[in-house]
Amino acid sequence: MTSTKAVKTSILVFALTFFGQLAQSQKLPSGAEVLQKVVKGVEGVQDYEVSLEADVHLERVRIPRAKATMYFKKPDKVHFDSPSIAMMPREGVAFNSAAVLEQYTAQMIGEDTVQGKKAFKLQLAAKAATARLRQLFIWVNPENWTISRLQTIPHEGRILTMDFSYVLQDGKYWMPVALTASFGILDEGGMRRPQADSSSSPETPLDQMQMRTPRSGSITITYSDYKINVGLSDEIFKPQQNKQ
Amino acid sequence: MSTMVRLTYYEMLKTFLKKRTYLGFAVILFIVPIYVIAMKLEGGRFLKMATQSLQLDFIFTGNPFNGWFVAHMLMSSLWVQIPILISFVAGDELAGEATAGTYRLILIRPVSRTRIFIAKYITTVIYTVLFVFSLGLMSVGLAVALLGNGDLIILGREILVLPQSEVMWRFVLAYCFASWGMITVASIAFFFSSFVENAIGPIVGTMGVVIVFTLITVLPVELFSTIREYLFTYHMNIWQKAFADPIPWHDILVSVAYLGANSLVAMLAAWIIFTKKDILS
Repeated sequence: MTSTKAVKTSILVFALTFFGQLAQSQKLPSGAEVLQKVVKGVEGVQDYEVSLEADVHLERVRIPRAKATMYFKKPDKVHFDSPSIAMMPREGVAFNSAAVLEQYTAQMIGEDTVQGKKAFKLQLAAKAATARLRQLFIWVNPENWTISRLQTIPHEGRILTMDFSYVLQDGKYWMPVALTASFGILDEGGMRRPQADSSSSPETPLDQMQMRTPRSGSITITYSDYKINVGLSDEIFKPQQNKQ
Repeated sequence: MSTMVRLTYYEMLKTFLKKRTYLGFAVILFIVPIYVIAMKLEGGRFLKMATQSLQLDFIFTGNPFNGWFVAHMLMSSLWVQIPILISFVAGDELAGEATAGTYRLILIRPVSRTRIFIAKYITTVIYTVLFVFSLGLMSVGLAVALLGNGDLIILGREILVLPQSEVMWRFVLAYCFASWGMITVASIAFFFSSFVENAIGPIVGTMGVVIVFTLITVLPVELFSTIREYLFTYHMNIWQKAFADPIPWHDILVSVAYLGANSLVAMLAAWIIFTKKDILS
């Protein structure tokens, strides 16, 4: 008698959960739809020039606050110009949502909250097996269809989280004004571990020569003085000698 | 005082009229351009290799591979060879007189042995400083002229970037510290020079001491840990501290004191030997 009651209760709970989730998923747009809206928001941006200021706080790295100018031109040309040495995260600093749409398959995970605001969480899986980043998680703000957070695992055991803030430029394009890229370590359970103790790692001379990727810390990039659709010349993007 | 100046002037004249004095300068005139031009042609491949894993995740803007970077690399690379070149001249200061058979001649002049000794030691110090700063001028000047200006990136246990505005005075400071270290090497060569009659001995002797002490300094052996910091070779990398941020002034003072004490002991020992020496040639 008791077991029959338990079975009935289980079926009821399962049904409620299943239909509840089904109803919720019907309300949510698909991952591809969300990503397309993100791309559409900056579709009109053919090129831009922006001033950057990088503040680096990474373990074993000491670089003074540096300024640079970044040039972007569709489809994927990026160039940095700076009199001083600055270190920028390779991912995110010139985030190209059109390229992401082309290279990744998006899947809706659900709703989440980022910086106190509602966001759609998407899981992006690389279409090509050779892609450097096989999987990304992005959080999209449905108010302006911008990516408010991006999370990925660039290396085994490492986690990179990028938080973006946006401002409307030229009255029509939401462009990033701040990016904080945080680097952390994943423990065995996949959870983020706090700051690593750099002094505990023994270093061989080879390690010293081959600079290892910092395991923890953050880089904050502030963007200012956007010049959008100014018709940047391709010459700017040609590689120059003696530049890294 | 004027006698001392005149004596030093003549010692300088004697030293700078010898061909061997210019051997060191010739070597740096040959090596520095080769090094800098090779670096220029290589186009920063070394830096790219050293930062290879970092470049997977990060983009470096600016011009990290510039003249300052190469000048810093050159200073690190040449630091083993410089003592040999210094000891060529320092080791010949007193022994050279014995080899040439001019000891008696200079000592019968109406000036004391101590004054002659001081004049020779000052000449050695002047040569050392001149040589180290020539290397500095040559390497920095050529590297910056060929590879341009910019911030200095230092790759060690950590990545440190020094702003361009600070780099020049840090190099001057580094070469001052380097001169101080090389004066110790010169003093040891000068000491060996005081009791032999051939300049080869002081050169070999000095290099022997430098090599053995350097090995003790760098070998990660527990046995040497207690004596390591008392050796002058442990403090000879004092110049590298000019590129630290913040500059460890206390450590620098300690190293300056150790090197100074070593120079002083070598100089005093040489003076005792020289003044008591029975000149037979």
